[in-house]
Amino acid sequence: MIVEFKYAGQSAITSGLRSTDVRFATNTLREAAFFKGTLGNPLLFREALAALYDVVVSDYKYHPRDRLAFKAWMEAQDQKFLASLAVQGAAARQKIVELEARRDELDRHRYDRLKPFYKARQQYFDWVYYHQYELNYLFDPVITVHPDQVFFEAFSRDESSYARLGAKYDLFEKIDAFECGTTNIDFSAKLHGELDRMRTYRRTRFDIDPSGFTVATDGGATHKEKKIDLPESWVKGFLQVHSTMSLGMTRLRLDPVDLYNLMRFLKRHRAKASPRAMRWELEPGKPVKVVMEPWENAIELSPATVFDGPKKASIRTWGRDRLLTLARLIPVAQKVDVYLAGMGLPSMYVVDLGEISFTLGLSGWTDNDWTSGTQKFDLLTRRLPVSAVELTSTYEALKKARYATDVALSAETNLGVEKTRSALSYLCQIGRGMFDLGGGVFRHRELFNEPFTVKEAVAAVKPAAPSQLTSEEKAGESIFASGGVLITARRPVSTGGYKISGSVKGTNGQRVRPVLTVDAAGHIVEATCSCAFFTKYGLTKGPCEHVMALRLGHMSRLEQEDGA
Amino acid sequence: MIPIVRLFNPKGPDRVAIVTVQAAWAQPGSWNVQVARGPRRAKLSAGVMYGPFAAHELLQRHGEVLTSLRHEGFVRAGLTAMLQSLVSSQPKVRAHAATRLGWYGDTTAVPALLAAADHQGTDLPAIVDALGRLGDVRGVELARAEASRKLLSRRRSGVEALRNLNDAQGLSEAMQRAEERLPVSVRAALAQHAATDTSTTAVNAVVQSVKTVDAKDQGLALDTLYELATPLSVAAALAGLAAGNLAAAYTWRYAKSIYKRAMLRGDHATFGWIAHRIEKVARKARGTTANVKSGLDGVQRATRIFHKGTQDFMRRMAWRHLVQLARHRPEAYPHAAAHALAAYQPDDALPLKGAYDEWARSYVFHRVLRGGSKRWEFIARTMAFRVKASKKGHAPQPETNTASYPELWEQSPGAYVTLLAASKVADAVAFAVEGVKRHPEAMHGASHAQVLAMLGAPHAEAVGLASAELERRFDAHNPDWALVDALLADARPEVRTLGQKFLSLAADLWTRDVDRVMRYLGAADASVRTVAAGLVVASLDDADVWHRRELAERILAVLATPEPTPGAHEGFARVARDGLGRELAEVLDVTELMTMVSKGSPAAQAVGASVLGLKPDAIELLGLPRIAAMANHDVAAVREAARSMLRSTLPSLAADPSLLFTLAESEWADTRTFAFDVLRERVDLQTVGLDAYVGLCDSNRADVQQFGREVVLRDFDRLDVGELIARLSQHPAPPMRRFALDLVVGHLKEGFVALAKLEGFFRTALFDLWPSRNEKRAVVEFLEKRGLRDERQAEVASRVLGDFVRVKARRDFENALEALVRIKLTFPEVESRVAPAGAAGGVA
Repeated sequence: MIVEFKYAGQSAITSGLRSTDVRFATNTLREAAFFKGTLGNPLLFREALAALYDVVVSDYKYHPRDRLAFKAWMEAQDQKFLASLAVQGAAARQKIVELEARRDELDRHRYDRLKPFYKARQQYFDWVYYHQYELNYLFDPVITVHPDQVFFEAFSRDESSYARLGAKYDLFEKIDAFECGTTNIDFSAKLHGELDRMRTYRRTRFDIDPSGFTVATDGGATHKEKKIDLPESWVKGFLQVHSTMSLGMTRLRLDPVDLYNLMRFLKRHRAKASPRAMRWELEPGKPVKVVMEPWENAIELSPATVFDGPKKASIRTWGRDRLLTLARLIPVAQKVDVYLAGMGLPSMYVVDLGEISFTLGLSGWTDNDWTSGTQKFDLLTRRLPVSAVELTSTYEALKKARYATDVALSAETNLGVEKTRSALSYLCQIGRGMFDLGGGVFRHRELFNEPFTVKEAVAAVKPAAPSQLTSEEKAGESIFASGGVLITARRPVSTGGYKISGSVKGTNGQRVRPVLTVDAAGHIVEATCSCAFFTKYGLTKGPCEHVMALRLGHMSRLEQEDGA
Repeated sequence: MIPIVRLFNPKGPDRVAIVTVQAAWAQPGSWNVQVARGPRRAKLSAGVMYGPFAAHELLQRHGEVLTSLRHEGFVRAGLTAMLQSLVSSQPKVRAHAATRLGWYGDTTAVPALLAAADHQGTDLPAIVDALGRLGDVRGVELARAEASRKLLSRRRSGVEALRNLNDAQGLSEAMQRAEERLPVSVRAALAQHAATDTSTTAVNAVVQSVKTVDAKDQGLALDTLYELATPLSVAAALAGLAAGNLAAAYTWRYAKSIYKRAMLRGDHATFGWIAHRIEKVARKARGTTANVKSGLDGVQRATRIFHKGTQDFMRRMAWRHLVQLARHRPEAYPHAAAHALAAYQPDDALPLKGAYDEWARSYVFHRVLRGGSKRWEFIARTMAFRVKASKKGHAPQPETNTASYPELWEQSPGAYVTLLAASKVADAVAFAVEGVKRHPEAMHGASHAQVLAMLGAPHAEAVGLASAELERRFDAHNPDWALVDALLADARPEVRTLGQKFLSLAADLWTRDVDRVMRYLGAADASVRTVAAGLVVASLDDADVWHRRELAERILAVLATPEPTPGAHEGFARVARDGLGRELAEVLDVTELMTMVSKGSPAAQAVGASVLGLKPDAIELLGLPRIAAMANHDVAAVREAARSMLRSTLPSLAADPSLLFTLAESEWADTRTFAFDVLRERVDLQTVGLDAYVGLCDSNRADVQQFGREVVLRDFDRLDVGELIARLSQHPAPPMRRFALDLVVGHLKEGFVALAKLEGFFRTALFDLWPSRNEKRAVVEFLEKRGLRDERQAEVASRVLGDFVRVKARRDFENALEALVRIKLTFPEVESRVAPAGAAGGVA
């Protein structure tokens, strides 16, 4: 999809001797959200924005090297070798050696002669890259002004990392004015360079303003326009993150030095062979160990990182190099919360900087973006049927409150907590809201400019057409409809929610035994199954048809109980 | 060399006579004409010898001998038999006879041909073709009638015969009918361009219009285009054939028709191109079968199209045509053969396979170029040539000239030039090179385009021949400007380089001609523009005032217009900057120059800026801020001009250096270097204060930071070190952090306050991911040193080291732990992560 950005000015940071003006130009095609204030701790903000920029520009996908030149060279060497076989006489060989030496000398002279040209050409390429990169490839972050904080959200270039920088109002020494809303900000590479010039000894003004920083030029246009072909997967990924964040995930609390130790190891070691996972060894009541594969190097985290879960677990996560984007936060971090969804599933790192909270969401592995067909986190979530009217009323309530817990919103809408959670889940999925993992609240955030309409509400809650359902969903429904689900045990768990065991007759006629744990919100926390699909993929490709069918059985039972 | 003439007398006692020309052995350089005659070919007498004749009179004497024999009743051998065949009841026999009679060129056969035409059989096209070849006006009426036929074979023969008969009226009517037969879109496309316009644009337009026609009618449209025979229509017809599939059901018949037309018309280039095309397509195409209407009899039937039989027939037909030319039109053979060879490309060479070399399956190529060799044998089934097995112990004899009909090539050396210019195949070019070396005068007749084409030949000697010819043709005192222009406009760099050489040699002439100067300065090729500009600039030193003024005005007019392509103004700009600055400064005021700088092309901007530097009042009128803005301009020449102006204002810059600090942060290295130089040598930074030093160090650019460090160290004794350290410690760049650390270690004020302020700095240094061991050790040692001084400093040091001691790096851990222990032992009451050793002591 082509997304248009139009900025009246450009974002810029102007540093004088005594003051610094940080001005973020906002997209004039969107609602007029603005914020004006003075930063109390510019260094903290600088480091957080630098980390955000590192995430935005990061691309950890595997890019094979261009070996054309090498292959040509190899071929030339082969030819040379074959030619040398045909040369019989010593004199001829000597002549060849002399000629080759002479040719090498000439090549060197030619290279020396052309050196300035090569240098100039490289500088030109750099210049073009620097200027075109920003206009064509850098996806501008989304900024939202709320009554309690200003937050920036962005995705990496490889679409495998999500970052959210939430700046609480305590960060600001003085707040002059603000208007809540969501918009894009002009975020350039040049701006990133200027960010590094923020200092405490300069009073730092922080303005989010449509006008930005306008440079008057003779007859030139002062506005800046970008048209970025935003990949569909980027948008889906943005929404998928919130599906993941609302999952019941295993939480660990790390000291910043733990994160440093992990990153330090990653910086100094590069695995040349698989496996390349980072394995979290969790044992109740003991400090967490992180094992770096393939060296099996165990890093024991600080004593504060005691796992308080009910049972021993081992969770492997991939794409660990992406953690390096947090490097600049370590010196200023106070604590780090890690949320793990499961083996090969996404993980979240919430870095607490005091007045700033920085969330880094990583997909299961780098080449596995958030929506590339193999990630089906929304299958793990549980939703009750919600009508368009109920969705609209939840949306209105969230928009009015800007941020609230699901319980508070349920009280406002009189829909009941379960229903409200489901409605919020739908709103997150269509980009009308988001879940703040650090704060534990839902927030109103319009990802796109189009206003929320009844039509959209109807479309959002409309059951997926059979063609849109995944094969597992279709199979699960089919199994449930044919009465192939038998719940053998169902008991509440201490953390809320249920643990359900069942016997499910699959589409191939074989009976298997899935076990499912859902949290109080109805999300799948844990699932196992004796089928071949689960044995092979676990939950990395979403739940299997048997787990889906068992969940449908559980939801049906819940509805019956609610009705009773 | 006069060929052997065989004659036949159906009535005489001697029915056979053979006339030959032989060298007179007694008188070298003279020739004898021998006439051998007898009742039949096997019983010839020794004959009569005429001569010896000198070479210049040989042809005349030979003609006289033939005339006398004709008076006796001798006619060309075979003519009588063919005339008798014309009255055969079989159309096939009549057609064969008519074709042969056409080639013989003996107009006595015309009445017999006309009489044979009365049969109105399938032999009629062959009869009309023969009449056309004979060129006798008695055939016009029949040709006109046939040209108006609907059936393709008859119409083709009629039209081409009219063309050979030079019947302007009949041809005009035929062309009118052909135009009417063209689809409307094609006719419209043709009408939009001149008939002689063979530019790519025009040809493409016509080809595109053909593509809009129904696929079944495209072939006919192409044939009709070729029938029109204008340069544009012929080029479009061939381009259309090249773009389409020659072997397709509805195309092949018309491709064949164009092929036959080319042979009738004597269009050797088209003949060679299609002959090669057929061979190339035949390597992959296996043919098809389709229901199509015959062009010969108009009957629709299932016809095998482009099957192997057809392919082989057409390939053989090409060589048969060449043989006919060699026998009956010997002067045309080398040219047709040259075009047939030239159509082959290097990619036609196939991989070597046993006795088959890379050209073994290139039939026409092999026949023409190796037909005289005895080393090859032809395999008819595969249409391929393979090396004959030599007898054991007999090495193959070396062969000098293996081409077919070598004597004909020698008689028309111009054909070598044609081949040399057009061929890209090394073997063919080598053959042509040898020919040209034997007939060097042939190069003199080559056109400029041909000689230029030779420069791209895949043969060093060919390139050498072409270069030598170009050198011969070029006279620096009276240059052939058309040649120079052609060289400069060539797409190949090496050819343009030669053109530039000629341009330099003739510089004295053309640099005085303003029109020519403007043309070369605006050349499409950048290197030509550069060379031309250099020559013009060099010539301007001696030029008179009026010439300089005129040139300045003309260049100014060009620079005022938008640049048609990027860089098009560069040549003009260089001359303006380096040679005409004074003249331009006289005619342009500062406002006009600033307009040039702000709105002109990059080249014009450079000119504007450099001329501004020559205006004494420019600095005053523009003011320093605008000049500073120019110093940040994208165009290097503008920046250079701005710096040049700034150099003349150094005293005021030194008095108020704020502008220099802006320039020190310029995006451009040259401007930054200028600012550094001035700041270093002319400005006393003390007058600005600490902010100046910190401002430079705060930069994001490594070179500015380096300069900042340099001036800080230079003036260190005069600076407020405490404040400097506090500020520099916030810099995020590692080099600046290292610099700050050195200052901290050496000069941080005593006491808790100064240390506590830098807690964040110490953390940043210690938790940096880069392996800067020395830096970290320095921080740890410093914290230990200060932590041991007093309790409050110990608290700060313990806090930082307490976090750092948990790092999983042995040396860092040991250093931090040792420091922590020392501090703890000195100040036990300070809270620390390290507890005194005990039973369960150690790191908590």
